[in-house]
Amino acid sequence: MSTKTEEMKEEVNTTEVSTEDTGKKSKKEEKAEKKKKKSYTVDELLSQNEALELFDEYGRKKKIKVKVKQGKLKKRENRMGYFFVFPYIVGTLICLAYPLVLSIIYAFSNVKVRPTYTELTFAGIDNFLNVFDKNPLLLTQLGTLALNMILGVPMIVVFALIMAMMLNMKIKGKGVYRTIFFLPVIIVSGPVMERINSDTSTIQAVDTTIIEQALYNVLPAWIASGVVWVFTHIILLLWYSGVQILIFLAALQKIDTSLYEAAKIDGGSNWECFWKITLPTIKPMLLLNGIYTVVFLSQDTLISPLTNTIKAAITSVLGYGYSSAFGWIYAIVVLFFVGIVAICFIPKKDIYEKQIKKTKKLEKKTRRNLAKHQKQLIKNQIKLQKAIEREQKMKAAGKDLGGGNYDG
Amino acid sequence: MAEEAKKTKKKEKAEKVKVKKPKTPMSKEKFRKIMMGSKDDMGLLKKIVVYVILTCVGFVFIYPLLRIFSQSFMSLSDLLDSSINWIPSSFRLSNYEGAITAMNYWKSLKDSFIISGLPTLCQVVSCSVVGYGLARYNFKGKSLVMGLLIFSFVLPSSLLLTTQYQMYNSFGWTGTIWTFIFPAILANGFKSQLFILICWSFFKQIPPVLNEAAAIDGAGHFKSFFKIAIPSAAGALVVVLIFSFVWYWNEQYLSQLYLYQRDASKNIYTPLINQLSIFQSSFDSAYGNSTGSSSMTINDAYRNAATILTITPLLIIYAILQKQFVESVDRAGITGE
Repeated sequence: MSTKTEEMKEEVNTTEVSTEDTGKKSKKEEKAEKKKKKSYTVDELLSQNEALELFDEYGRKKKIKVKVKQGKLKKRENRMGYFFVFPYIVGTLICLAYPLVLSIIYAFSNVKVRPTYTELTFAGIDNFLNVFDKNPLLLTQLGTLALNMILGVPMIVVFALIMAMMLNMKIKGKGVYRTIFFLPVIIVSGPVMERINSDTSTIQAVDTTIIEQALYNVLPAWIASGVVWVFTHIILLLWYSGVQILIFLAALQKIDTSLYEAAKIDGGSNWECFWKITLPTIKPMLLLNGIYTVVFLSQDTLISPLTNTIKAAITSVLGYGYSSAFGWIYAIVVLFFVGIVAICFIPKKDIYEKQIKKTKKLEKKTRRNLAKHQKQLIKNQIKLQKAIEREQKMKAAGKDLGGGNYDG
Repeated sequence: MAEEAKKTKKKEKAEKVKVKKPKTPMSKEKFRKIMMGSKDDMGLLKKIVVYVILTCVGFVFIYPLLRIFSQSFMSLSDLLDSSINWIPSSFRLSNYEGAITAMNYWKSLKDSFIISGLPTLCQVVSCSVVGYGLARYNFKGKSLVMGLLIFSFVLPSSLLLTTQYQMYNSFGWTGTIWTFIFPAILANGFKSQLFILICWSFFKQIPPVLNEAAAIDGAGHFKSFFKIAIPSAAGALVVVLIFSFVWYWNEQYLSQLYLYQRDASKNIYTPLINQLSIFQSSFDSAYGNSTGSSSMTINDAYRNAATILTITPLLIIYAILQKQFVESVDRAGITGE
């Protein structure tokens, strides 16, 4: 529809131009006519290009949208987008790009801060070696971080999903429960969390040492340590899943209820509905939540012991080069975890989507061919016209010059 | 005739009563239906399980707060007394008095409001503007901007802290509020990326027809932004406002880095959260513990009182905006697709 109307508009425009110029010189008229000839309608093109694949496998005529360039008005309007995004672009250049580039440079050089300028000398990978040298605990800390991530991220995501589904049910006192469940979002922060997680204020559970011993006796050590970790950190994990519950809840409410109704009519149980409808629909949110959890946990002092060392490194005597090298090592580790989460949760494109993509590609190809063809046609036509004109001129010239030349 | 009619009526009544009277024993199926529930209705059993789990987890969230609250009124002997669990023997308000003087509470409260309030306002404005630009217009390089957003969201903030600190230092801004306001104005503040995404997903839900209609009536870009986009996405703004305020309020490390100088007396701003993190030393200095002539010694009651004092403003704000907050989450705009 839109393409048609825009074509109409263009035609109207050209006619307007031609009517305006009728009174004026004839050259302009010619130009206007040429312009007119440049805009072909789709049907014309189709009739001219029978050699191209214009029919799909069922023998129906393919709908080919010829891309019409955005109108001037639309273009000008969209240019306003730059105005709105302008602050972010400037901010990114100043607050993100500049420090990022600077920290890469710092990481590979010796930085000496003088009162008026900073002196940089290339140091190779000395800074990175320094990080491993000066921190004998680095590898063990990375190990605990990895353990915490591997156990913590799935637990938080799954727990948040279960809680969100429960909060989404038809129950009484929904509002009260939601108010309570969003509390952690408000309160969670370093010092307050330390207070909340301290011995006096957490829930006094059963004395876990006996259970721990029993576990270590029964299970192999690495499984037992994982289970014990979960036992000791469970309340912390509950507290850290506030935002995730929020995100899941919002996603769950977006799901169309008619989907469930249709499934129930076909005899699907709740269990099946969860696996076949709920989970696939909120899969993007799983990805978002997973990444958010990794990023959040990586910046939390109670989960990741490294953050404190990094923060200490910033103000340490070893200088900016050392601290940016440290920052980069940590960033690579975190990005590695994010990558793992992304690989686990990125929704695979199903066959249907693939098919659509394929047809779109084909459409694009045919469109490009069409455009090429069109261009060639126009070129040919112009050539032809020029040739005709030349011929006519020649003829006229020949006549004017007197046919004597060839008359012989 | 009349009597007969009465009689028949009575008979009918009796019959009716008779029909009502016999109790059929509850069939097993019905019982099962009530307990386990049918396909479209939750069973009693399931409901009980759901309520129990929700209440238990809610208890986990509430318990530490209540515990801290009740302990903040206790004296040292109450804390050590194992027979006193929840209700202190006497409500000691002097804990709060001590915490208030040690934290320099009223000044810190004001500072906290400045430090988290002003950047929050800037952030709400800038993020909504940027989110609107991304949601409504199709300009060249839009996908690049979106990619940058996600990239900077994933990047750990500790990576940039060194060089950012140096940059602000060279501007001469360390110790002033500009270190917070400047990035917030340029939509690059604390967790701005997330807020831009929230605003973007809200603005995307506005049908473009509305904008077109407004344009026909003569509204420009800004008018349609202020008169159409902002009112219809008020929920997003509330979410951004609360999150941003809370996270700035709770951000201890950044303010420690940017606002605190080596010479403690030079500090212009002393937000509450930082006062809480150095509570021990400030308490000692306030009551001369270091010199040995101490009138009071620190204990958990003081710390808890300080914690309660720190989070009370947040709780009050949450209580006020709670309804809008929960509703706007209900309207399902917090997440982008």
